[in-house]
Amino acid sequence: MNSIKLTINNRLLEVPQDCTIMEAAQRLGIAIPSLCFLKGGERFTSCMVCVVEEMNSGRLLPSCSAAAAEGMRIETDTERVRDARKAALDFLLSEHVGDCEAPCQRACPAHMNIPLMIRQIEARQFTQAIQTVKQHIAIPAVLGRICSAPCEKGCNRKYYDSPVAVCLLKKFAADLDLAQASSFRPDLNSRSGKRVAIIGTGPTGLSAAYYLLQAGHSCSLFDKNPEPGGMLRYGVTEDKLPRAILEAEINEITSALGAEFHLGCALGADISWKEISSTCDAVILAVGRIEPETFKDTDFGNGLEMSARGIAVDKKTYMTSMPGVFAGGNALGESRLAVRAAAHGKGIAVSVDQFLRSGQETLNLTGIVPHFNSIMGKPRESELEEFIQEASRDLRVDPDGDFEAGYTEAEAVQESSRCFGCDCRKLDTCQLRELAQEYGAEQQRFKFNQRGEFQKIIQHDLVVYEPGKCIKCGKCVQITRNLGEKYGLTFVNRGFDVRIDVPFHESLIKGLAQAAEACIAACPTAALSRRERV
Amino acid sequence: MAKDINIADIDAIVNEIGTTAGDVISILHAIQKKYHYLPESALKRVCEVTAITPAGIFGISTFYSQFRHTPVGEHLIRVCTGTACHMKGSDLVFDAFLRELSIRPDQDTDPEGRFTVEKVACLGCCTIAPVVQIDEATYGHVKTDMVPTILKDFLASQDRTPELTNGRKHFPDEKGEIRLGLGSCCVASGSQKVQQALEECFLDTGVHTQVKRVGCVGMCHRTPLLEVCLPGQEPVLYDKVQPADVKKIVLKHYKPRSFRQRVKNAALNLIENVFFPDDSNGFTRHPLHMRDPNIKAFLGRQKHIATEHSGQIDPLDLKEYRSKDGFKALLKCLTETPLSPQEIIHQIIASGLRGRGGAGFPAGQKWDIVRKNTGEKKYIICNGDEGDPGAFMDRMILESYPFRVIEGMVIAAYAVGAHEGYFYIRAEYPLAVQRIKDALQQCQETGLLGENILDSGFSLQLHIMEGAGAFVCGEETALIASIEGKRGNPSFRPPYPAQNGLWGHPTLVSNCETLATVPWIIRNGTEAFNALGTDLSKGTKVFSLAGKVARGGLIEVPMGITIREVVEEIGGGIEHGREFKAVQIGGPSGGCVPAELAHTRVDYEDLTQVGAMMGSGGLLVMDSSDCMVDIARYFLTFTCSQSCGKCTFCRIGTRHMLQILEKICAGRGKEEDLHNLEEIAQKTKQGSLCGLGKTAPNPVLTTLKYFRSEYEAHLQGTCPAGRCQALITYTITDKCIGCTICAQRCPVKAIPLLPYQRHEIDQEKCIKCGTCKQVCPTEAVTVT
Repeated sequence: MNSIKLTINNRLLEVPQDCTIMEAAQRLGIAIPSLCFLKGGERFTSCMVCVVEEMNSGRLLPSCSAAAAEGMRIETDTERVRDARKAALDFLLSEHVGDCEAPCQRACPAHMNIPLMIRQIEARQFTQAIQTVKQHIAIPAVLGRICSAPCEKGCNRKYYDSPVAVCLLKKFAADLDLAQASSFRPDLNSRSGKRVAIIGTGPTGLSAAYYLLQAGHSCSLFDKNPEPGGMLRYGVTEDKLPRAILEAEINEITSALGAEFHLGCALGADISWKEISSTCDAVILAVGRIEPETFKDTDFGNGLEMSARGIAVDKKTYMTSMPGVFAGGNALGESRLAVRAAAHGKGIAVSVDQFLRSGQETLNLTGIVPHFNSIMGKPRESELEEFIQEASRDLRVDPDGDFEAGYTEAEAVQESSRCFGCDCRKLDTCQLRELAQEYGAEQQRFKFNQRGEFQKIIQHDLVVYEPGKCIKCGKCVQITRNLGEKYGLTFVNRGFDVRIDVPFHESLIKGLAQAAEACIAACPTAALSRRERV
Repeated sequence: MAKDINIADIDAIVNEIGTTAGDVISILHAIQKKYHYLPESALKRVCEVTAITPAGIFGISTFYSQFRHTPVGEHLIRVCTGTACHMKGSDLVFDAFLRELSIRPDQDTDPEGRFTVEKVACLGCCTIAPVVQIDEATYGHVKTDMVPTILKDFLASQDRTPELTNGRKHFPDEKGEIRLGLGSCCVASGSQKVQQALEECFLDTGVHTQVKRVGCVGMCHRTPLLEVCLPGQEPVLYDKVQPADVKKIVLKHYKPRSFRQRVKNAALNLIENVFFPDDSNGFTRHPLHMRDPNIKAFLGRQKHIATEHSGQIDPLDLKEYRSKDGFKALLKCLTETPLSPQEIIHQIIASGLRGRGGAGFPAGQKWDIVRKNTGEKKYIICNGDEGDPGAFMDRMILESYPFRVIEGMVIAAYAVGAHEGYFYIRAEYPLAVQRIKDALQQCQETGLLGENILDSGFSLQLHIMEGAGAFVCGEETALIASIEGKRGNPSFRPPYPAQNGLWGHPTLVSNCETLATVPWIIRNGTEAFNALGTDLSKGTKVFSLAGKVARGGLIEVPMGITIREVVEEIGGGIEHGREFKAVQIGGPSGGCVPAELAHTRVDYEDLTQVGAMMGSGGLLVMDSSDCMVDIARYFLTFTCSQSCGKCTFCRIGTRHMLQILEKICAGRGKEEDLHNLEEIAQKTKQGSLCGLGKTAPNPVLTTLKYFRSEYEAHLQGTCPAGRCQALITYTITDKCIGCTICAQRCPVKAIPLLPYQRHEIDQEKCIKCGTCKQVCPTEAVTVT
């Protein structure tokens, strides 16, 4: 057989005649994204994400199916290619019905993985639950008492009866942890040798310290007050937030992780900007509410740009106009929500870590990069039945004792079972989401008047089928055919109405008698996913 | 459900058709023919006794729109939604049937289970639009107010058992012949009733002459057509002939056999003339001579190659076909000269013939690729899956010139080295299927097909495969998938079918018209063909001319003729004296060319340059009452429903476009919608896998380009053409004479029945069905 010479990204290679462009690229170690390509399967050419540009003809070709031809000059990552891939993804997302992250998690300023925490509580995996919480929230026992719980306003369960008591569950997990002889301690990175000065020990400062210490940086916290906690201590009454709880969580940060406190240390009076800036590699201003006009003239405010309400920062990185100086919480004058302040602390920690590691010259900071999220919107009345399949129909559990006591273990488990589990089963493995992120795809770029129906088909022990998430790539159809399923799966109807179903609308038990695992693994989205959840 | 079917019947069907996966579509057709739908138990039985899998049969039966999964009423009413029908109000007709039969919006069958109403893709009777089929009967020029009458007529016809012989009658005792057009348009306009009247007339008068059924005359706007040919005299053509006219026509040209009958007939004429005083010369229909200026204009610029002997030969008379040079080209290729395959291909290349299916790939080159691909087996396929709404060339060619297509196909098969082949014909064209079937049989019996054709040593077997309602199967890779018994999904090309086609073998897929042109080229020489046309587009092109043109029909014109010449000279301009606005060429893949660009030539490149395309040859003329946004919406409704759903861009992009167009037509469009529409159109054009998706945006892009102001008017809440229902109001003007016809006919009683008063329409009740406007004798109803 004749061989063919072509170039891919300006690299010459020789391939056999029936080789596709994608296979040829693989030989050079160039990966081309695709959602519908099934190794060893037929060339189905459905998703159109794998397009590449042939420079001689200017044509865009689906590399999974187009054969390499003599003299081709292929480019796999031109602007046209990226645009075409993004367009394909925009189209696919426009008909995608389902949430990536659950609405509660999206609503949480600290972006806590709420559904995972709830499932862990339900499964009585309490250690894992607090670990989940503390990935995003440094002071959960505190917030469990004073948080205004935006997550519960986002909870889909509220359309059925009332939202899941997320805040009480978090409090339960945190209190239980604090009550242990050895509470949860995060792993610490090796020491970086860098020092960060954190001005203010309120929720922002404490949170920033918690995550910076984990990242291996030393933290010096300064506060003009004699006790740490800022507004948590001086702005919240003790009946709402018992001081013992506040101290216990601060203790987790100081004694466990080694933060250094300088209390009763007023800016300018007790310590100067010069002192701090000469001894620390980065400074975080978590000073609480300030008056921009006055602050501008202080030792610490000197030279910083101000907004109308507080210190001006870059929205993604929280860096001020002065490189290496960051600010967050009430100092920005935006909101007085404790959970938002805590979220700022976490966000600042990520930016500061990037700043300290990047070598200060480049300043290539991103802060926390928001992940792509498919957003379904409010479930329709009829769709609530789809959700309730996996949840208990019981009403919201009120703690039997007083509020401060919170849930008992049994109550917490019972309340957890009310969660719809709106987050996607393939949150971290969905290829559509991953590519959407990579190519900056937009779900709202092209909108249908009415979104498709949300459906969760639970018939099979191993599999959940969500047709709204199907991209009609047909991998599962091929797999069931190749595995010799008696029924298998098939395309039904055509055009926009095409869907995957078991022939004669039989149950998935019949359709996926043997091929369930293989289909779950091959499905590029969560249309077919493992029923069992962590 | 199982009790509804008889397993033995299913087994018998399978026994007759076959048990391989490739037989599935034919089996489904047979089951549906028996039960009028596909009972699930029947399909399951098929899986038990064949190699067909449940996934296969279910996937296929839900892909093709001909197949039904729910029982139907006793009779099936199919309202054609082809372009010409749409332009003439088929939506309103459909709604009128639903209303008349009290069918609920979510249902398709009346409560008594007598009638099921459905919309169908183009039936190819565009010149008599709007068209409705009830079972086997076809009704043309249907208006909303005619619906009750049509239903009555249909039910009445159920009590009769007419049916005509399809064969040719020989009455040797009279000279000459009477030719009767029996193309689908003629049949739909009642030519079978005319044939029946002729036979009754012969019995009655004793006149016995030969009645010859001929294929399409092309003058579909005047059907049914009847032509009297007497030796030594110029033939006389009668148009729009009604059964009642027949006797008078016959008696004008033939003398009754006996004196007694002569007297009786004279008396009859007298009486009839008394009853029809307007009928001064005894005929309701005037004879037309070929010198008639209208006929001359219609036929003058035409050049009949694929449609040679148009309207003169009996489609199924092999002897006659041969007497008019039929199969001479084949003889020349196979036995007389004989020509080698290379020589034939050389001639086709030299002639400049390009594929007539749409894209215009040079035919000879395609043949050459197939010939050069060595393989143990090769196939030839005649693509008769003419799915473009508004196009009926292939139907007419297959119905009227079946032998010519077969001849072209045998020559092509010989040239490329194929020994087996298929006619893939739309299921919506039963007459074409029947004619090809009969013609194939005659060829087989006379040694023109089969083993060792004409003792040349060359053998060819041809089969017929009926489509099942999928426009996308006109795309060659989808067509091949369909013959293989799969869902009609196209595949990425290359490999082209010429390299890797049916069941993996090199395959020549060729359009009917291309094949029908081949014998002429071989007989008359490449230069004769080459002399016609433009630099790059040679020869002639057949078009189905329909829409708002005065003389619609099937025409064959030399390439290079301008659009204006076609519309104004051949078509006789716009009917009812309205203003010529645009032509839509190329159906859902084509575009709208505005009247300002009517100087554009019919030429592959020139048409593509203005955003349209040659397509398969649908040519729809639009006037000032046609809304261009509505036309774009119409085509997108079509492509969206015909997308196979395989690739992302076509599946989702067409839907997005349709949705925006619907919004605009409903008066809910916003400024940004136009921008989005354009962007989605461009992306769908660029990203789609096959021709369907790549060309589906053309109607949108061309109307946006040439008629943007109409889109903008819709955004402002007006439809300048008075077409989009949500944006118009019907009102009655001072011209009203108070005759109450509109009030009587209004299906929702929105017009109070007040005689001798100017009528008024209750806008709250009005459903904008247009019936009042249709029935008003004084044109007092206006649309604003």
